[in-house]
Amino acid sequence: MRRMKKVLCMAMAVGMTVTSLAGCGSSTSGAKAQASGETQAGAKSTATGAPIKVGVSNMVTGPMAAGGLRMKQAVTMAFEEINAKGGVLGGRPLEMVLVDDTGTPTGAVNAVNKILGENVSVAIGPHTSPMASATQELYRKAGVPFISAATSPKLLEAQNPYFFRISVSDGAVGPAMVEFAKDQFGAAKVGALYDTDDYGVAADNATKVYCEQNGIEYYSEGFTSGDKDLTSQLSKIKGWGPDVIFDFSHDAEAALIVRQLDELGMGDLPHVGPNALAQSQTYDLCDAKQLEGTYASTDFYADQTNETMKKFLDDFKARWGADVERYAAMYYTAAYLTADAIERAGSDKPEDIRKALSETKDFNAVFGKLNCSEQGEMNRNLYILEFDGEKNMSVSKQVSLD
Amino acid sequence: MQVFVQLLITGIAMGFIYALVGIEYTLIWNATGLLNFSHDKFILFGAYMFAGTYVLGLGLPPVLAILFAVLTMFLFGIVSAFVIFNPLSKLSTNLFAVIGTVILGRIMIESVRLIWGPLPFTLDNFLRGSIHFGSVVVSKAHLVIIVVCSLITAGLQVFFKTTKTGKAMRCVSENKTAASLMGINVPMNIAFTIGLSAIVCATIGILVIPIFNVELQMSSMIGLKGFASGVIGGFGYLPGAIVGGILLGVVEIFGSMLIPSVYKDCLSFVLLIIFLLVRPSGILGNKR
Amino acid sequence: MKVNKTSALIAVAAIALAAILPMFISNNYHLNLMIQVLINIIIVVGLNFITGLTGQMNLGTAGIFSMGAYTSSLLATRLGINPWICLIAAVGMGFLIGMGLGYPSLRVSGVYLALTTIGFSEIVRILMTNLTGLTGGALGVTGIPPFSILGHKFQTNKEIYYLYLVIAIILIFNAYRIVNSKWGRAFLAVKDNPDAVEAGGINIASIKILAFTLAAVYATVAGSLYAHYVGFINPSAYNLEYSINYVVMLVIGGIGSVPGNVLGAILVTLVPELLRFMENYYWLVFSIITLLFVIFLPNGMVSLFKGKKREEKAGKGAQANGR
Repeated sequence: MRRMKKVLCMAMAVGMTVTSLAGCGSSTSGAKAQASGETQAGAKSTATGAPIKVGVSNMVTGPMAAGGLRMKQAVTMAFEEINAKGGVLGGRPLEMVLVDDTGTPTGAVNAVNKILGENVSVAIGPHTSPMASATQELYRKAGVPFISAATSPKLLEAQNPYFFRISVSDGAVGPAMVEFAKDQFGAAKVGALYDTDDYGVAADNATKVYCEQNGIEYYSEGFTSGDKDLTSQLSKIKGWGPDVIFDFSHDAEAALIVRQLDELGMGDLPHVGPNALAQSQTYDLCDAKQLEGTYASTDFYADQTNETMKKFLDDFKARWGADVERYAAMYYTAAYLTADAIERAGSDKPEDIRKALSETKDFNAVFGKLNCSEQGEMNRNLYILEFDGEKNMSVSKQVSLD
Repeated sequence: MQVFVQLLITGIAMGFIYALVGIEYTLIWNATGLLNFSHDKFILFGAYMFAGTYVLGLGLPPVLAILFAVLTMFLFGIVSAFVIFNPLSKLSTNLFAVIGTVILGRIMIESVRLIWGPLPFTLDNFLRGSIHFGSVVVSKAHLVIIVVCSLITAGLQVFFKTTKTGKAMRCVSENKTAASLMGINVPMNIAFTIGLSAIVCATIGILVIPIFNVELQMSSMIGLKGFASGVIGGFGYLPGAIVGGILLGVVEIFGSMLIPSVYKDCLSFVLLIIFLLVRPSGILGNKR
Repeated sequence: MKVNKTSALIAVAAIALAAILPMFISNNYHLNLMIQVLINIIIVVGLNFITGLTGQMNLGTAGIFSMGAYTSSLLATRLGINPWICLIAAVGMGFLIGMGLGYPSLRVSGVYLALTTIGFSEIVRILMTNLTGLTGGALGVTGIPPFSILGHKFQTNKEIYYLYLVIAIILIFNAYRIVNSKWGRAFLAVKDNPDAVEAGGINIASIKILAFTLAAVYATVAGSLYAHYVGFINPSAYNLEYSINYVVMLVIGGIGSVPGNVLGAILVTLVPELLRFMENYYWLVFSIITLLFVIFLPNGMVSLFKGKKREEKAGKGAQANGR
């Protein structure tokens, strides 16, 4: 027994050392194998030329894994479709170099370094603002453009010509919500609950400034990410007596806020939620009755009346058996935008693709038109949706931020 | 007044959750001398087992699903006692034990993610809605938590004081050598204790579904705060865990009315450190 | 100080290998991993003083590390102070934290100390997230400048690797000397036989605080190096999981042994990266490997190379400490 233990230990130690030595050279083959293995279930590629590599920094594991799954599915599906139609640049397929960034800034630095080491032409992700913030200098140094749906207004401060975003900035959402609340409910007092992460703080700040400028009273309470019992924050806001309640939170908390508002007897106050609330994975967590009359502001919603969107929704459901939400729509768009930019650039060189991306005009995304600004902002479409008693959404207001 | 009552009930309900967390790891601590750092993952596992497999997967009615979830977790506890906790408690320093249980937790959360997927979900109509007492609105979930937790705490006390197994468990936690001399099967007894702890974990997991939903991070904060409540009440002492838990729940919710609420989670850790420095034995602890 | 000839040879060979590696590896990703290995080595070697030698459980590495990183990066970005001076400030912060955490370690030990350090780390994380005016909140600090010497900025990964390699070697060597000096023996004695330490006329309190201070300084230095390398820092990643990773490195390499620490840091940083080809399963597989290690090889990789006698001695010492 003792001997066996010793042998086992030795074997483990040797195994670990060998993999760490041997792996240095060959550690990159995995992602490719994975990507090509996945295409079996999807459409067959008809593109036969030399593949063009597209890096995808994706949250496979970690706290954001739920979004990461959709992101991966969306990009995989888009590339399958593009390759099935003959790829880009006259028959060259797009190849996904997918690396797990674990949803953390450190993980993203690792992942992006790995992606850049693979000589990719262009990259998609990382998704969150802290991750994009941590990695954007790497992209700039390497001269590779990247497309993200990170929303922080602070990302623009770096003035990085390689940064492109296809989501609406957090700085723009709050003010649009205030305008909506003024028109719709004649609100003069806005109470808000925000997550103290990058997203919530940016949205809270922008809303606060906008309210001050427009003579509207504003009171907000923060909560630390992961705090699930928001009773005391909501009670404080209730005590202040707002006309309307905003919340800037993520999936799980957004659903909890709807529930806790109702259970604290605040269900009758108008409530405008974040984009998370307009996604099926969030509103599925809410009771239909509690959700009735709640609003959500979002840069994406599953619009069944739009034909392009409808086709995407159906295809996605058929391919993965899941509903489309924001992650999927954003990164499906990012994948197509990539292909479009490579076509327009007529080249697989990162610098040419960057130039093509910066000249993007009237690109047809599933959720509307994309036009690239000087700072790399592409999306200016915002919707405010209203829920009925059966979890159906209808557009209450469409805002163009230009 | 109305707000006060509402907050008090929420605070007590959260406090009872912390108290149960305190009880759950104190059981293992007393039996094996190991602090189970994977206890929040046990809670998670119980919740997923109940909601993911038995209710949504197999479509069982809640009562039956609770029964099955509790039973599964009990068996899981017994197995992990022999496979993990036993070897760990034989290791030389408790540093290894801490790391061992932490890594057990990592394995569990990864398995949960792979088995049930990363997306959060919930159970419709499971302890949903609220009850009005005059102008005071109380959510059903909070009331159920208070009732069930009180029953469990009382039940455990009776179990330890009156049943043979319970007495044997107390005996093992006092002195293992003496216990084995008295003819108690110590390893089996420890395994049973860990199984019992897993049952409590499963109960916590099931109870918090209506307030937290089912998702991978659902139990990490209550896990840490459960540690804090144990120290505050008196570490390694079951009544201490209960008093500490309820106190923490109430202090936390009223405290965050006074200070900026973003520091709410700080409160429990500050209290933890103050108690460790000023009164390490906790409020009720006179034993250690 | 007695230095074994073979171990001196091994050390020289390891340094030589580390110095020539970048000549074969030009890939930025691999260089980046190597820099992270260096930073992790510094942290683990520091953690060894407190957790490895004196046996005091420190689960607050994340908090200490981020305090170092924040001290350095805030001074550099807000006040435009030279990164080297920021690094010194981070060392000062390490001293303060070491004293601060060392004091509770006099009153509480074992699991209680572990809980205290967890509490400390959580408080740091929550403050970093919410003191938006000072720290930039969850958005973090951006644009942290790199180190420079005589006007030359260390910007490429290769340059940074060599700079950090030099710093790491100095710190490792320093740690090795301390471990094998009378202080190192005193640290060990605090774990194995506190009464004998007192009887020997050494003040246990000052020894414990010294060990904590060393650990904290190493971690804050690592934090500062990290911040000036990545150029960005935010609080979200520095939770309990992060702290535990370093204890895992310590245990896998071998507690108490500096070469073991280095080995542990290298393996635990690189192996998960190598397992990435398993995509969904890599973290699970890695966790299972670590659990097997903890159960079957609790004294770490170095125990495989050590003589039987030494192993027994270590085992016995550790037993005395058991709860």
